[in-house]
Amino acid sequence: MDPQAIPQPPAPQAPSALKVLCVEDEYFISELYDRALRKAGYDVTNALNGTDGLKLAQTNTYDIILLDLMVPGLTGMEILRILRDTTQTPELKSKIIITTNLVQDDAARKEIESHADGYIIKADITPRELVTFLQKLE
Amino acid sequence: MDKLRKFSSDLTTYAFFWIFIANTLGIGVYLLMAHVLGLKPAIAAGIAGFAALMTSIGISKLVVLAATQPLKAVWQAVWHISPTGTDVEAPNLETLTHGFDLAKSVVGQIYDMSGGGAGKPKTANSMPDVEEALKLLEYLPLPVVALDAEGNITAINKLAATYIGRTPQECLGKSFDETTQLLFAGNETLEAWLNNTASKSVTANSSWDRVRLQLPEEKGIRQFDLIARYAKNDPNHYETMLAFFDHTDKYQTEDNSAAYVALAVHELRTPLTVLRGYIEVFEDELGAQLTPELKDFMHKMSASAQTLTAFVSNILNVARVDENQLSLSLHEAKWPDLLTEICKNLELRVKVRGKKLLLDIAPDLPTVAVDKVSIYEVISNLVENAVKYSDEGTAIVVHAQVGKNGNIETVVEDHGVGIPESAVKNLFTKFYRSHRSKGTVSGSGLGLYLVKAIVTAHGGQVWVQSKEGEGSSFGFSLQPYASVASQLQNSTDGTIERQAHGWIKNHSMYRR
Repeated sequence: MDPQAIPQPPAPQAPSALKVLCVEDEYFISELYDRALRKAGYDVTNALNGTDGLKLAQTNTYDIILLDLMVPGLTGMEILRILRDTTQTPELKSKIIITTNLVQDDAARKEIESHADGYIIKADITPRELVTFLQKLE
Repeated sequence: MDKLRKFSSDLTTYAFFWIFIANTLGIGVYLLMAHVLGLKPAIAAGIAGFAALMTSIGISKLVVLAATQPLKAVWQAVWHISPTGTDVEAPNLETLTHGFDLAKSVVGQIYDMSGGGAGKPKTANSMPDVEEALKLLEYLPLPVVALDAEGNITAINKLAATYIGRTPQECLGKSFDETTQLLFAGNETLEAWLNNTASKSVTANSSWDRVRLQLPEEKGIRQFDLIARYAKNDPNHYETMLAFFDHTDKYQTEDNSAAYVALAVHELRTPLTVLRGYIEVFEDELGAQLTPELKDFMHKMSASAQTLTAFVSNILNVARVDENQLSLSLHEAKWPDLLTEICKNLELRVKVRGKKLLLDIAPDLPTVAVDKVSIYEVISNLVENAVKYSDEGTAIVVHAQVGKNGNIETVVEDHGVGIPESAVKNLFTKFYRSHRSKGTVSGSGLGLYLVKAIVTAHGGQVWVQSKEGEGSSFGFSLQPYASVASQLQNSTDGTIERQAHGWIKNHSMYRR
């Protein structure tokens, strides 16, 4: 077989308006994710700190929660534990995706993965690729 | 006496059990011969008798073996501590199936009488007394502590007291646990080892790396290696001897550099995420309006951000490999799909430098066992190298096919400068840059080192073929999923976790 050019995929399609909560303290990143997700048809709510993020997650229903690990107030890890603890939060239907640029040791990462539905290194993907990732998740 | 009585009764039960079996067997054989097979009673009785005789011989041996087990342990203990029995090892009581309590008690007694069970005592008249031994501790250029069976400090040299931030008077008679706060890097703590050892062994040794000690009153921490020797029922109450080997500076430096890498990676990644995000917005919004030149600039900007992201990942992964922290989650994957996806991701970086990235994937490849995140790093590094060392206008071809041994082989082929033969053998060494490329092409010397570590952890191999002036081909193999699927028998979720040095455990993980 002769070497061939790399096939290009179709552009991502807009899904029905799923609700996304984005807990992200870095305003630039929050702005970028918000823009890309809205453009793809998602209904986005942003929280710039952990305390707001937890309150929103506990009082509203979201299909997806994007959770940064290093946020002021409560850390992402603490939020994750509370959200997955049925004595503190009624059973959550949301999928929780960890978004981080932190370097984790094995033990920390294992705990995170046991509670979350996905784990993303933010620097490795662009906002558009985040959308593609979320669409595959559904 | 209780233990002896218990052993006798154990042994009686054991012997009775086997003799009962032999009798039953004899009768069984007789009945089988006489009634089922219809042999004459005399012949049947003869055969049954013979069977019973043979079984009895076997049983006698079993019983004798059981009865002599504690005796052998005692013999070993006596010879072990006697000055002449230099080659006899201390008895391992854990292997005893009978008379464990009896043997443990007698062996303990023997070690007691020998003067403390401290391994091999010298002859009686050369043995130092306790006072002298304590003085000797002060001469040791090493912090040493002795504990009794309850874990209280019974002896401590000045060096050790200073080391744990106390005076000897503050320590003597106090619980070691309460006097010091130790943190162990691994799973087994000193306390756990002591509990375990005390219930099983007469003497034992162990050691721990990277133990941390919090000094009292927040005076900082010490880091050291610790060795411990345990001897049961020591008459001077030195059941446990501990020695500290300080490595505070060394471990601190290592911790700092690991923390520095983690911090640097995080600080680099955040602006990179932002840059890549805004570049993407510009591409989306302005794409149609840009002149070809500006569009080209945009691509170059985007590709450069990707290259930098890849380099940051390299730094982090090399640190992980060096600390044996790189762990892989192998999943079943369709290699053509994954390889195409990865190459699509890398294509821009090739294109903006005036080269083409082409695929040549054989049809019907079996699925592979692969960690998607790590294998991306492998191909990214190989393609990056191919781009660096080849001329504008040439093509880089990624081939994939099944190799001779059934493994899936992937080769990244360039038509660039090639590699001099003298440099080939060092290519996969950390920080290696060939003499010629050092001055002409930028690079860190980390890429191929990482490629090899990741591929090896997958159970594959790396290789290179090159001809100077004609180009190079870097290849690696991956195992077909079917050949490692047996590793999944205990996995609940269809994944296998591996570390750079072999199999570790089953674990679910979805990254990226």
